[in-house]
Amino acid sequence: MASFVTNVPRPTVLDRPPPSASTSAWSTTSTMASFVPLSLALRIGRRAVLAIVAVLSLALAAEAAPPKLTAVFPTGVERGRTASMVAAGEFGKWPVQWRTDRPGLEVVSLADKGKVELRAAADAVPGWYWVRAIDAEGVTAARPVFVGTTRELEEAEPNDVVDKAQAMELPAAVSGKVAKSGDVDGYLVLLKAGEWLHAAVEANQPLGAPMDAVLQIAEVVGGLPGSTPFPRRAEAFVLEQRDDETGLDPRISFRAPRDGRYLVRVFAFPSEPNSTVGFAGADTYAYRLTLATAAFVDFVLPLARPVGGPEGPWTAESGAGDNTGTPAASASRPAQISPALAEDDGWPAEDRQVSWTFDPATPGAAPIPWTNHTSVLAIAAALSAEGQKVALPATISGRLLSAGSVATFRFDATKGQRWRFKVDARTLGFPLDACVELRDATGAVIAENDDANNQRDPLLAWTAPADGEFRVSVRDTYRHGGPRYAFRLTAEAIAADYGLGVANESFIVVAGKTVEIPVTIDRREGFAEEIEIQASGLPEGVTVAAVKSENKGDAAKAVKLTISATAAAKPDSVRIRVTGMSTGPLAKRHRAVPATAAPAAGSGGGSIGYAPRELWLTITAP
Amino acid sequence: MCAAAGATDDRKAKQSGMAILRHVVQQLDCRQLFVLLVLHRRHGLSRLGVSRLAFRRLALGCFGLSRLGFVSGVMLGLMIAAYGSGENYASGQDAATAAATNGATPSAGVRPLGFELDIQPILTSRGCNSGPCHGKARGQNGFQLSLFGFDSDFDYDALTKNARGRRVFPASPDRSLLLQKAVALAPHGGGQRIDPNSPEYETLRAWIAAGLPRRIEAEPKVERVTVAPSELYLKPEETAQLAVTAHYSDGTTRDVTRLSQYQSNESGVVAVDAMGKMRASPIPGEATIMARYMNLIATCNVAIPLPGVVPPETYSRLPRRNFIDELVWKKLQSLGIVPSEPVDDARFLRRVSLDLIGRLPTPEETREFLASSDPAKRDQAIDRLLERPEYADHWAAKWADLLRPNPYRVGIKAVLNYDHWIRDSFRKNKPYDQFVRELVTAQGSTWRNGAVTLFRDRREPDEITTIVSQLFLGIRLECAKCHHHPFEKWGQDDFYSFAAYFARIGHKGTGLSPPISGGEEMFLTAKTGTVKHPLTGEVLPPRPLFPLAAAASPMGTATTGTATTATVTAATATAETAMAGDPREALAAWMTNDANPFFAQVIVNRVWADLMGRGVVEPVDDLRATNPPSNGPLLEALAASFRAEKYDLKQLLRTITRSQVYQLSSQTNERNVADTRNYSRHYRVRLRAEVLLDAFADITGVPDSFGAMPPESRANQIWTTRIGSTFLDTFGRPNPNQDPPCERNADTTVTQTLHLMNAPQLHQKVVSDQGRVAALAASMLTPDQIVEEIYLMVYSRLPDTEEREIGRRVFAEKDITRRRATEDLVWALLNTPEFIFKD
Repeated sequence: MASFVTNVPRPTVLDRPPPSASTSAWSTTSTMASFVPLSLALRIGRRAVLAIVAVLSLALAAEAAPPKLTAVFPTGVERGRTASMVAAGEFGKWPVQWRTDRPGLEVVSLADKGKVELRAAADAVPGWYWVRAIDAEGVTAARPVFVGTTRELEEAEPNDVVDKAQAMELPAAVSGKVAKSGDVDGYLVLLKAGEWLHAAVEANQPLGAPMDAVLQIAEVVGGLPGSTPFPRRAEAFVLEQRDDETGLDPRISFRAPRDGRYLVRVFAFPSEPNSTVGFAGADTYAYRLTLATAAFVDFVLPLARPVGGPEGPWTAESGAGDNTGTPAASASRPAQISPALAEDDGWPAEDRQVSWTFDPATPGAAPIPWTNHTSVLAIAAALSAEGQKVALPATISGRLLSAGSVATFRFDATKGQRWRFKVDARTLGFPLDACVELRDATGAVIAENDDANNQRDPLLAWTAPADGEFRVSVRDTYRHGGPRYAFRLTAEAIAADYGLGVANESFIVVAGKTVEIPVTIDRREGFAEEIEIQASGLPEGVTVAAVKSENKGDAAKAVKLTISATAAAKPDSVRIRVTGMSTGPLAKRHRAVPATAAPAAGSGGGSIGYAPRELWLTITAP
Repeated sequence: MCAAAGATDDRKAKQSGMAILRHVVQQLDCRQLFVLLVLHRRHGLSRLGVSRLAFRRLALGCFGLSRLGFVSGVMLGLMIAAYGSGENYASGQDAATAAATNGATPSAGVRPLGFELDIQPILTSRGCNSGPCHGKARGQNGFQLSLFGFDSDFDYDALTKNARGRRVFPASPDRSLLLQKAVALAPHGGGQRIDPNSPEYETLRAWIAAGLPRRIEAEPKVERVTVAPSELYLKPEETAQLAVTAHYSDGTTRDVTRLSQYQSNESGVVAVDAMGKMRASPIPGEATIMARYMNLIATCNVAIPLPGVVPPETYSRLPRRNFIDELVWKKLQSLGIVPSEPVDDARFLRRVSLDLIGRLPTPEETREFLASSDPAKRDQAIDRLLERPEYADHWAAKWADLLRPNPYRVGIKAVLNYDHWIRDSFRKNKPYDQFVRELVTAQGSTWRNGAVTLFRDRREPDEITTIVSQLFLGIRLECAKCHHHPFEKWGQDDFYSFAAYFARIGHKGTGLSPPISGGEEMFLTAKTGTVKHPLTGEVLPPRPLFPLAAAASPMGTATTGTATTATVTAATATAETAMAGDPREALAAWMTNDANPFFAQVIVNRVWADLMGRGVVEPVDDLRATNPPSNGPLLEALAASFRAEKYDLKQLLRTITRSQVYQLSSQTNERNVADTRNYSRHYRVRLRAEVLLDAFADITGVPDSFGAMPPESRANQIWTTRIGSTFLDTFGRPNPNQDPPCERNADTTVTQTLHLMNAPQLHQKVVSDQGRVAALAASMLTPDQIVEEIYLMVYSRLPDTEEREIGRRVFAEKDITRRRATEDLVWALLNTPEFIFKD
């Protein structure tokens, strides 16, 4: 213990230094030392006191840094219920405050450090909610918690051997951990012949577990007491297995061939590959397994919510079907959508928060983003050679149900028009590896793209060579297909515009000081207007100096926004907004989006991997 | 017609007669002579015979009376006045007078010699262009010929132009280095290859003297060779002579017996010498003699039946449950072999359970089976077993040996997904043609479509060619990568044209980076990509190895006939449009076409070998004319049945296991004790490593836990050979560093025996408190009942009286506990061959 204080000049126990504004370890130690009563100090001896002081000073030194939140476990709560959970991370002074990204979920610290209680409103919109901890020193990163319509269970170990598998009543969502190397988790369900079972693992996204889960569905044979003196022990024979479905996370829709017991098994490899064939596991390998029969909200069609309306209709799909491309009869349900947030009003689609679609009677929830254009749903004609007629700009959503399917859309263009065709499939978590082809009226391919920006999703920029009708088609590079081969094709005019970006999502300003927020401006297609960048939502005592970004020099790409807090500003953490307004005729306004909000490659489907688009400012005491 | 002129004088007659004969023989090149021996009274001959000395002088060399009475096509008779020198062929098989002439064209004057027609065959038959000599890659001592003469232009240049043309000396042919070395007049590492008195020497000499003509006018090309006889039965120690005929593109034929090379695939049964004379050994058996002339091959199947006569009722009495029985009995009848008795019920159940699902029947199942008196119980057992979930893992594990690569090379995730794809195909009972088609045309990511891992492992077209042709066509093409195949008709052109099907496999993503290789790689059809011939640099378009003939199936069913016509058209069309679409699709269509004989034959042979202990063709994936099946009609019939059942592997297994041949006992009788290839009895085979380990776990009731597997998994569910297990390695699991395809070795070794006896894990299973043995000992069963249960557990049969007595004695031993006795008996039985072998 004495080693902790070797570098610090030893204070005399009876020293009482004058109060100072600095927060150096030395002064903190001294301050702490002042709390040790003289009588106590004399009794236990100098060394011991120094030891106590050292420990306390460390604690205080830690308190000086913003808190960290790494995970909340279990992974979800049923709406209308309360659940106690463990928040993993580093918290200075407990209790901390909690914030969620949208109403419907409340988080409260309990007495024990790290223990929290989550309260989900009965009418909370199902989906992933992002929670953060706040204390006087700062704001943590947001971590996801699911609010669902189905019961939430926790894994009960040991459940690796077949006859110890955890019996489940469906529908249910289980929060589990592949806790150590070689761990295998098994869950037992009873199914009737022909019944569907949907099993979805969410681990790598959005929970961020560094694991590559593998999901198996096996039939259990034996293990029942029988008439023979030596009954056969229970064995599981795998019928279906999946390694990757949405990014690294697997999902299976399985149809039971006969009445019986079925085992759902989860194990994992590390998401960063190594040369060990053995299964991996750690405390960070937390996963959420949703099990449902009948239906499950895997994703929704169409995959966009138009800014200008209309609101829907949306159909929730289970992703179930057979090899010939016939979706299961129970696969589709009408879906409701979360109400639009007031704060998103008036902003373009790319700056808005994601919406959540759900069906109250079905487990799961699916996110869909906004779009500035009309939302079009591909109809059967799209899969024919003739194609579906659409008017651009549009956001078209569809599915390539069977192998070899090609979705074709006809549109009219005039010479010189510039269009951008962007397909989102892998980024939304679908297995489709799309390639987009542009054909003229004769059917000859005049432009195509398979992968753009080192991603699997294509992006094609095109100028119409002449007036006339053209066709854009989307197909799988490998000519695969299936019920989960969904895509979103955005066809929009290439126009000058810009985006604002901020590297972090939280900033700290000390009362009486300033903080600089670097803002990057991504000017596209030669956006030349001057942009005025502002911050809003600032509390009392905090001001910002607006900055102009002109289209020349360094300021074209990056500016610094200075936020000043007066000495009297109250310590608090608030959500702020950094906005930009272009001062020219185009008059485009945008909100800054933190880099952490960008979707992770390959994430999506039922769980989009990006964090909410929030910026936080913490004013700390001087 | 030629006639020999007789001379008035005895000796003169002999000499001039022989001179004329030699002249006639050489000029007309009629080496096959039907010699009518005629007594020429004027010369005082009173007996039939031709002197051996005369034979030698004339060096005719090919005589022997064919047992089948080979008399076809006699066109030339030659009368020889034979003057004995005291030697006399009195009798028998290799007596005088020989073969028939066949189509030798009588023409006056010297026949012109061509390089390919006349010279190359001599170089080939004398071994000049063979592998150890001038035919190897760098030639020998600066003189290189193409292997077995597959490149005539190259060889012609080597002889006439290279080394400044000093190998041949047209002005004084005998002084040519070619001849001097060949007869060892000049020092020659190969020794004397040609006898200076032989016609071959004369031919070479004449060719050099004629100015080294490359070709003759309107030179025909040799198209095929035939051998007579092509099927033969010999008595022990009997001899017979082969005659090889070359057929040319202009319809002519020529005897090439002297210029062919001969090889027996079982020289211990039937040996053949350099001149094509076969000699049968004293023991009964079968062999195939290959005659090779240049690059063309013909085969003669020789069989030495067992001596003694078997009454035909023996065979007509035998049960015939399907076509397999009919064809096997027919073969056995021709060899005089009598099949064994049918196997008893208990052994049948154990055998068919191990074969179909790799698992022993439980004692309950055995008891129920033995007690049932239903005449259809065996068929029902087969049907039940084919529906068990263990079926998929058992058969997928066999295919995993052939396909699954080392995870250190391609990545753990890729191997996991590949293994899953193979297993999934068997779980869903995917038709075999669809399985092959999906594998060969696979596209997608190694993380999502495991089948593409084949292309991640084998990245170049030539690497893919060898594995695809071997596994799915039974054609081993490796030799043809560099030169013409020595035993088959495939050449480099064929190899690289086949490889061209894989030229347009494009990929994106991350390539290999052993030992982790964890990146994702995707495979798709690229727009461009070609394969070039390695020597000529010519771009080779994809071409199948052979065109599909519109042949009706051997069973002669009408449906196959009409189907093949349509499919032939389709196959041709797909081959032609190979460059337009994905060439691999065209290849898959050609391979899986019903008219492709190899595709179905190799898989039925493989499955048959698995069940019967030996393939109809061995090695199982080496189908070629020079490696003929032990029962050709059986192989074709199995293939036809498989096609008719739409390539359903379960149906094939059902057909085989239902046959009487499969259900024969392994006990020998005196007439089949030496038979190891005609299925007169069931051949015992040591069980596979995984089957044994799983059986051990089932019997002792203590399951295994393997690393990288869910606990209590079975050994045949393991997804990579990198998962450690001493037991599996000891019992022949392939080495993880070995590239697929890997074939298992069913040998028994001392290490295996020692392992079974001493391995601590195995011992633990037997003595475990949670195990079956402990439960047996703790139960209320009497010792006799325990003994019976143990025999049912390990051997899947009831013990006989003697065995019960042994068991009783074990339990009655002094100071032995019930538990100990049970353990001892179980342990003892587990260390016997009856457990380790499939009976």
